[in-house]
Amino acid sequence: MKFSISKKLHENRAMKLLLSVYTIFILTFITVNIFMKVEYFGSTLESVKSTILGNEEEFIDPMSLEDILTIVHTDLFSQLFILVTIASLYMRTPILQSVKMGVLGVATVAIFVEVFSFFTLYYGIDSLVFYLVSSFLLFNISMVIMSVHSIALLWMRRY
Amino acid sequence: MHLLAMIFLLLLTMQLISGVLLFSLNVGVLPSEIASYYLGSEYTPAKSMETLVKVTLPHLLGFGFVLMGVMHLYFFIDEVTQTKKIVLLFIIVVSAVIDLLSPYLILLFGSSFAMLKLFGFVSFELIITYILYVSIRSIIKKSLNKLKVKN
Repeated sequence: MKFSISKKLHENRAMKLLLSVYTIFILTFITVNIFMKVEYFGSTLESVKSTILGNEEEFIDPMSLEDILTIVHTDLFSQLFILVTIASLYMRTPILQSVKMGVLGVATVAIFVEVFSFFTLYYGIDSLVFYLVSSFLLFNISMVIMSVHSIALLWMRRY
Repeated sequence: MHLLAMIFLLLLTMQLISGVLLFSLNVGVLPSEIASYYLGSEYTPAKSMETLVKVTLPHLLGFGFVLMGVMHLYFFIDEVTQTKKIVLLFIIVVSAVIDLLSPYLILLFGSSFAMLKLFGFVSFELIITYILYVSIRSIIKKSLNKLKVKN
């Protein structure tokens, strides 16, 4: 990833354009992914709980461990890919080190919490549904902040 | 950058664990279980070529990304000789190819290739685990040395 080592990134117009297009793709992916998750799990905490644990009254079967593992396995891959590429760009920006570390920390912790709460929810600790949903949203929000901030500063010729 | 590399390796470890769990739950860990997963049994239908391609396609991208990410971090470790790096790269590529191709061989030529699938999967996961371990250890070592120099 040449962009993570090249100095004065704004002077390279082609790279600036490429990174902007990449960010647009990632932002679109995040948006579509959120809509897909809402479609699959529902938009309330109760519907998320019902989708995972099942609901006898609504005739919803609970998810199997294989289903959960498949979601975790594929989501982890996309989260890993997005986090590493966007964060390596964000780390190049002239933003305060503590702010950069804070956002990166939130995004990383959110991934771990999401995976952990998914499994604990499956094993019956349904109070963790709030953590599952909020960690999913936190990760996506931090990615939006990182990518938009990085690209905005790049176009403002700040690094 | 050390921190980012560490996050990458930790998330990849989680991805690896979920992959192993998924394989053992879905496919099975015995050659007979692997054969019946692909060829079908009394209760389950055999997998179609289309299903296999649907699984192979995202894994091709994933394997490429994992290989590139993990190996390029591993190649930065000075203590490891160049020969060892090349040999490991060769072994990991061969095991990845076996892992991806063997389901097709099972479907086309029968259950005798189930052992090959198990071998491909286990060897790929073991080598990735080894490289992850060495890379994480090296990053921790470098970070500790940096801290010592600062103090």
